[in-house]
Amino acid sequence: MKESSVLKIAGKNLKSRLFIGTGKLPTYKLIPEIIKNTGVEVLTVAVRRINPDAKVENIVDYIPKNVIVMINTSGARNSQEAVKIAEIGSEIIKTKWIKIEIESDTKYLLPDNEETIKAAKMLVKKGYYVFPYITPDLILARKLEDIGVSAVMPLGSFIGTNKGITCETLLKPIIEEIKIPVIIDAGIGRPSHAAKAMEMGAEAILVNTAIAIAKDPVKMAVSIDLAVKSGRLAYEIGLLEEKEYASSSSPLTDFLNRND
Amino acid sequence: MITFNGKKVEKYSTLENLIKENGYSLNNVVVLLNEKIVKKSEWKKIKLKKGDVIEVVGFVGGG
Repeated sequence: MKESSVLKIAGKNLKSRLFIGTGKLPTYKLIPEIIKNTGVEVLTVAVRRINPDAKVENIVDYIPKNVIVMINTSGARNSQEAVKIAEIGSEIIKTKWIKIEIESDTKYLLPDNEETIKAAKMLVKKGYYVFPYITPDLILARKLEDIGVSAVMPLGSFIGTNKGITCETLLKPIIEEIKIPVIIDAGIGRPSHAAKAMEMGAEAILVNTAIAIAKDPVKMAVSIDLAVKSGRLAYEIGLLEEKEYASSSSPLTDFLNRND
Repeated sequence: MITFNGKKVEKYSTLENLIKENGYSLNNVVVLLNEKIVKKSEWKKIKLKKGDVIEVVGFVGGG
């Protein structure tokens, strides 16, 4: 099968352009199943206080060794907390991939871009590969690119809303102008949304809710993965422009006995 | 009294005792003593004192 190009990111060459978030999964046992069926190479995890008595699954036991773990700083309310979470997380698993997610608003879960810039500066300086979750804003993305982040992760819609790419007008300039990879994060609820993101030229997408709370998360991961592959392949070929008027697919001339 | 994951508990001898006696698997967790990361190799050496704040953190599913 013809495949799309590899994704060069943070010193790695990745075949898979689908990154998966592990929040809300009914059981971590699904993680190796999802990986096996999709070839996903990057997963995100969060850092929390662990209570002793609860006999809960430890997510680390379910993450295959060859998968890249990206630590999400969610829960951080400012840049210092985000840096601290990154440092704690990279003590548990040797990873340098950090998704900066700093939120102070619980209704829309919009990122605090000002604190995100501060955290990005600190984390880049400390040698991490930094992936900031941001509102789709070209100027902000440029500032982060200058700081030296590994990719920018603008939202397609608010987290967990399944609305798809509702910020298209703001995402397009980022994809066109920014040279580091653009990963569309948040809001992708269906395969068609994933395909749309990839057709637009996003280098990758990050999906969590749509897969995690699906009736069958493994199958949903597969269906979204197919859409990612399909959308990317089409983008690399080049999509045709929309036209206002019909243009026949079959030749209109030489029809039987007609001479028009 | 010390504060352990947000709860007040009786004093323990060392950090390692506290972690073990509370039933943690010692893998895949990080211990913060007064907001600073303590390497696992040092848990044994650290004697806890009144007012210490200890947090055990680890990974959970997240987006």
